[in-house]
Amino acid sequence: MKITSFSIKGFGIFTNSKVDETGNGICLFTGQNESGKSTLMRFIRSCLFGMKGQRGSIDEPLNGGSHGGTMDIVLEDGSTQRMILDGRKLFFEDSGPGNIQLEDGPPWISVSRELFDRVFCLGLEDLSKEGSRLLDDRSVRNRLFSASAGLGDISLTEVFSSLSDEMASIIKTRGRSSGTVGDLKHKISEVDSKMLELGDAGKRYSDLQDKKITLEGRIAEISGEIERTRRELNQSKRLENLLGPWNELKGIEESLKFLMAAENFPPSGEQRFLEIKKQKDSFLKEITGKEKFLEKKRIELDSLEINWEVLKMEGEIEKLRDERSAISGLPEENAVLGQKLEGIKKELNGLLEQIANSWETGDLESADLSFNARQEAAKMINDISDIRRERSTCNEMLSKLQREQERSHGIYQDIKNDLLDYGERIPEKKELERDFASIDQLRDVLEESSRTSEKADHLKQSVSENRKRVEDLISKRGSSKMFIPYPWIAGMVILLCGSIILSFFMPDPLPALLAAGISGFVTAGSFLLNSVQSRNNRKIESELEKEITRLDQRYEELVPELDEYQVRMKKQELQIRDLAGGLGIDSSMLKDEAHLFRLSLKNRFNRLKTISKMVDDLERAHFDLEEKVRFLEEKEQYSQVLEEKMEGMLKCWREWLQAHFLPVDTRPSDLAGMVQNILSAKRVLSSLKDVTAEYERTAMRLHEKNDLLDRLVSRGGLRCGVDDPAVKIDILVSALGVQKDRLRKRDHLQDNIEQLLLDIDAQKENFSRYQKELDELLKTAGCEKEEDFFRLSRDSRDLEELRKNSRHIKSRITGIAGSEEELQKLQEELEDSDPIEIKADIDTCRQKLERLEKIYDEAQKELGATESLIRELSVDKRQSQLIQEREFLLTEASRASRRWMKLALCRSLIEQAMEKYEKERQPEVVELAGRYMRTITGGRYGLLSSFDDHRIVLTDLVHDQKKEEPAWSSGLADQAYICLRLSLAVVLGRMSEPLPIVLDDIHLRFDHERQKGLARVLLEVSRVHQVFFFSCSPAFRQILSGVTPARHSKPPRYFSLTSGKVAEDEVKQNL
Amino acid sequence: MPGASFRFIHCSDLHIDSPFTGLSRVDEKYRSLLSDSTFRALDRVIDTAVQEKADFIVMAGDVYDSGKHSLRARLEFRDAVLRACERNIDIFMVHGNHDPLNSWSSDADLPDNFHRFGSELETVFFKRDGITLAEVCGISYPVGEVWENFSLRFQDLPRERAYFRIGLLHCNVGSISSGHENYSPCTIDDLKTASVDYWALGHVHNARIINASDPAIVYSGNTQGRHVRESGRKGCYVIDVVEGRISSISFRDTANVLWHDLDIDITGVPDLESIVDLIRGKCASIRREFPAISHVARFTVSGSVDQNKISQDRINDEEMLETLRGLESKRLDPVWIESLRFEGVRTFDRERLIHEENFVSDFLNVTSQIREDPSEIANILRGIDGYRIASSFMGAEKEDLWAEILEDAERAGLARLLGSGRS
Repeated sequence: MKITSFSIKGFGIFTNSKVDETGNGICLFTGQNESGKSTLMRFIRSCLFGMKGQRGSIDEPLNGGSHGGTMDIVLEDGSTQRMILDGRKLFFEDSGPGNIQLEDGPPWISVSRELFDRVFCLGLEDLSKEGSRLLDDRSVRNRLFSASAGLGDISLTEVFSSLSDEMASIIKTRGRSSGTVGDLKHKISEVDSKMLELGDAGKRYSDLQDKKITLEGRIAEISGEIERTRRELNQSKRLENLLGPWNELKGIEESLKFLMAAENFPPSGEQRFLEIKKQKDSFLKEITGKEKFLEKKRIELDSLEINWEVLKMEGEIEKLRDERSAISGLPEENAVLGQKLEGIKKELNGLLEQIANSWETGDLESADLSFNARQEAAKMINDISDIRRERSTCNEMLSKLQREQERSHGIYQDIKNDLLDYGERIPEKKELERDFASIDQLRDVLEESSRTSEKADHLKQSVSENRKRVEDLISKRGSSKMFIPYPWIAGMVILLCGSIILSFFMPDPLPALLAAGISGFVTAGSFLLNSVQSRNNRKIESELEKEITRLDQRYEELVPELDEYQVRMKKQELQIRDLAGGLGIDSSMLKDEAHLFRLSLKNRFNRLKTISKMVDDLERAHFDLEEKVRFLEEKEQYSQVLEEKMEGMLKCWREWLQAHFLPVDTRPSDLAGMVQNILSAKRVLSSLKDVTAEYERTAMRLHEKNDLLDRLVSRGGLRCGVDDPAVKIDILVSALGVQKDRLRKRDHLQDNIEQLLLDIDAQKENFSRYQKELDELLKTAGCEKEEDFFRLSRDSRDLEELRKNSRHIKSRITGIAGSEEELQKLQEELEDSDPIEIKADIDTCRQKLERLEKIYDEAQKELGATESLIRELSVDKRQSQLIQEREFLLTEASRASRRWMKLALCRSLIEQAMEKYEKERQPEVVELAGRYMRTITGGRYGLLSSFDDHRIVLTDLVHDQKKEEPAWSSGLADQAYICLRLSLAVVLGRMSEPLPIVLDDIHLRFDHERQKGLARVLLEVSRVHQVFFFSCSPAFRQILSGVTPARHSKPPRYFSLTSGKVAEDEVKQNL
Repeated sequence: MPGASFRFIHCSDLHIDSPFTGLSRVDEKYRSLLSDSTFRALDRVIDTAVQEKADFIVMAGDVYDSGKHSLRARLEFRDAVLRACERNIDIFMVHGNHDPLNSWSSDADLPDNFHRFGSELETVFFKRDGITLAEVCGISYPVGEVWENFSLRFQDLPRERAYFRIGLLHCNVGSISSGHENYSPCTIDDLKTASVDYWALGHVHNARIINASDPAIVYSGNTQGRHVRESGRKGCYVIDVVEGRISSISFRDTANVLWHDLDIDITGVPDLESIVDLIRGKCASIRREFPAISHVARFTVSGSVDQNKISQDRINDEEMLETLRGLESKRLDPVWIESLRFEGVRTFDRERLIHEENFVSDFLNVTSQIREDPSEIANILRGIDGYRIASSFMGAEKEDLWAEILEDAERAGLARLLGSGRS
């Protein structure tokens, strides 16, 4: 590769500098310090490899502007490329649409940047680093060697190193780490250790099996011992369990002896007793309840006040009710008529006044009256009319009030008379109440007496029947006859005897015998029949006796009972007599009269109450009346006042008229009108009369009705605060309805009371029946008193309980014992057993059992553990796995060893090859370097390499000796190093692309001759490689031009650098 | 000879609980499979006997792999025996060199219809329902190494026999297998001379019928291969005897892991991917041929390739092995590739390189010289620190491997010198 031209836009000190032709050979750039030599070197390197990874300055243009430039190159194959440096980025120009950025250097350069620097670039700083020491740099040395050995870029050091490293990774002979084989060996020994730990699994298995058998035997022994101990314990426990109940049973049997008296207590006697008692109490309670209810009903009945007066007025009230609508319209009608009347009166008055006025005063209409005067006149007329009306009303009211007063006064008097009559009886009220209580008591006693009497009659009848029955039976007793009467039998016997005797005497005894036989037969039959009859009779007698006995017993029961009832009856009669006497009632007619008397008393009482009420009403009415009278008087006075007022008004009117109108005796101007008015007035007057008559009729009717209503209301003891006939009718109707309801209720109550009485009687009968049953129960139990009965019942229960307990205990102990036979066997033992000893035995057995169970558990645990171990061993794959694992490790170790051997052999073979190579061929690089050395030194020195220790040796060709490094001068060392580097670059260049060689002031420690030698070497190198030589020594130009042959294929080009400018110089060749 | 009809199973060399050898860096899921394989093979022998309704089983030695067999082996064998005997399948067994008599513990927990032959020739009669059907004659190894020809003792057996006679012996017939110790060596004539109808032999791990009849001389082979040298089908034989004569001898597979040692020629293969595909194709065909069981395969790759397309630096057998194992592991029925060896695969033009007159040619010349005298390799290596450790793991086989090591070393050196780096 050759750099043909370059152009710098801006790079460090350079700005817009270019070199159009480099010449492909040596390009010598001379310039002073700071002229840009190093900058230009960097530019070239940057254009070749870019700036990636470059540390330090990137040579931005000092003068600003674009940073970068271009460089044209030509490759070995003749192709050209343009490199474009743009800042840090490197591109190469592509024929395509855009430039292609290079990330890692151009692809046609096969060496790396580092290698380029190390091989193709050489500067003073390289030499200044004690150049000879560089020769010891194994990497360089090996590269030199590798390059010359045709290994290209391969470093033998690295080859050896990698082989050694790989070998060491497999087998480490030094140091702490072990390598792969060492690790495997370690793992194998671990596996072996594990296998040793596992030990002889077979033996362990056998041992465990033996142990298991031993343990099983021991467990069986312990189980047996446990079983025996448990049996002993159970036996002791059984005795313990039996002893208590056994003793208890004995106790029960002793107790039973004391309760034998209750043996015959009827089963469920107490329960029955309690049931009967409960039922009895229930009946009693019911009776009491019903009686209370009865009393309540009675009180309710008593308190039910019926207003008989209202009821008596029923017809009238109903009639009024029917007329209600008509009556209720009367006031209104009356009012309407009144109004009409008034209207008519008014009209009449008006007409009269008109007439009067017109007569008296003339025609008002024609009068010349002012409006005010008219108004005033009209007002006065109105006032007069009002007063007149008011007066009229007042007069009417007066009339009415007067009439009412008269009527009320009459009623008041009547009532007052009654009051006087009955008022004296008000103090009797309390007495009456007392009488009521007595009556009730009397009534109860009567009822009870009635029942007692009934019962007594019943008993009497029973007794009578009993006696009669006994008499009948007695009469029957002994009246039993034989089937065949004894006389007849006696007759038959006589006949028989006679027949027999006769048979002795009769010639023909047959008839006699026959007769005897017949009689004998008959006699025998009679005897037989009679004996049967006799047996029957005896039986009948016996039954009769039994029946008589029973009847007697029953009689014995009935008689005392009858006596008791009779006594009771007597007591009740006395009581009745007392009570009736107290009430003044004939006791013989007691029952009904008492009731009636009570009723009359009740009525009287009610009457008294009514009267009291009436008195109250009367007083109220009286008060109202007085009020009304006062009102009336006020009205009269008022009417008087009105009359006077009216007179006053009329007088004023007349005076006014006199003042304002024509004189009084002026004729009316409108006679016709007046006549008309008079006619009208007459008509009106006629209608007034009619209306008045009707009004009065209506008023009279209204008054009558009101009067009637008031009377009825008063009679009924009602109050009506409103003077409205309709309201009064309603009150009366309502009162009638109420009283009718009360009457119905009264009837209902009476029915209830009768029913209750019947119920009470029935309950009392039931009560008696249960009482009787109770007594019989006591008798059956042989008790006279209830306490004895309950005591016996308790004893009976206790007896039953004890017997039950006894059975239960017996069952239990039989269960504990196991069977009756077992219990029998244990009986003796139980008799002799001591509970303390038994307990001690139990404790001992328990402790022993606990101990044995513990041992058993431990043995079981151990057995379980042993079996578990056996199982583990049985399925333990570890040994197999370890064996296999060991095999795997051995194989891996074997393979690693083989690999190690391969690598070791490889390394050894390479070393042998190196020796061979060293012996038979020198490295080309060293050979070439030696040639360069001879050129530079004018044949004085050559170079050799040693493989033993990879050293380069300088040979003094003149003295034919090796010159060791310590004897080298610095210049000589530089020269040797330069030769080696140049030869390396050349040899490497043969392997890949021959790259430009860049040299920077490497000749500074060369003398003139050696510089000439260097120039010659450079000319030779430039035949293949382009050389960029940077020098600050202008003299080198002359030296170079001096040694350049005239027809050198690639003559050097000379350039000078001046403050960032590059200019080509022409240097004349010094021949 | 009276006609008796029965069926029996002949198996041998179970080597229960013996490890697989020659394997390393096996995936976890394979490990248990491999370690259990001999047990599973034993189970399959019993299963075969049950399925075939065999009357008895004869085991011709080497039931265990060593005298120090594991408890697990003992218990699994016991369970297998119990399983067979409970189904009225008798078992007759002789001991071999790997499980001699002096290595067995008491068989107190084995049933009565399991019979072990002692160190003296013994005859046991097999009966079914009280009728004798066959006689089994056997002799066991008293110790691990027996050099006596035990077959000669069988010649003392009466020539006339009433029943079908089976000879049960662990021996090496005619040194037919170089891979086995020559214990109890005998010849075919020795066996034919004895009055035996069927020789049930053990010791040689490859199944073969040496003689089909009169007498039948059969090696059943081992029931499960444990290394690449025991590749191929493994199992037992089912022998039908009808009216006193062998009517069939048929093989039944018992191995649940098959070994395969296969060669692959990659001549003409265009790239590395194709080599991988080729190998995977082989794996697939293995699966097709032997479905439902596991496989371990060693592939030996040979042939020449275009070095422009496949450079030596890219043939890295370790990497390729890992790649192939990785690809196979994704399958439900993978073939475990034990190793991948590239033998004689030339990716370099050796002839050209050796004549180039540079360091590489010098290197090749050196390797050529060593090739002529492989023993020199040991001398070279002995001088290197670490050889002692490496050789301790190579065992006796290393002598056979010098040529391979040299080949590998040359390849590795070339790879490095020619610029690829590691090989």
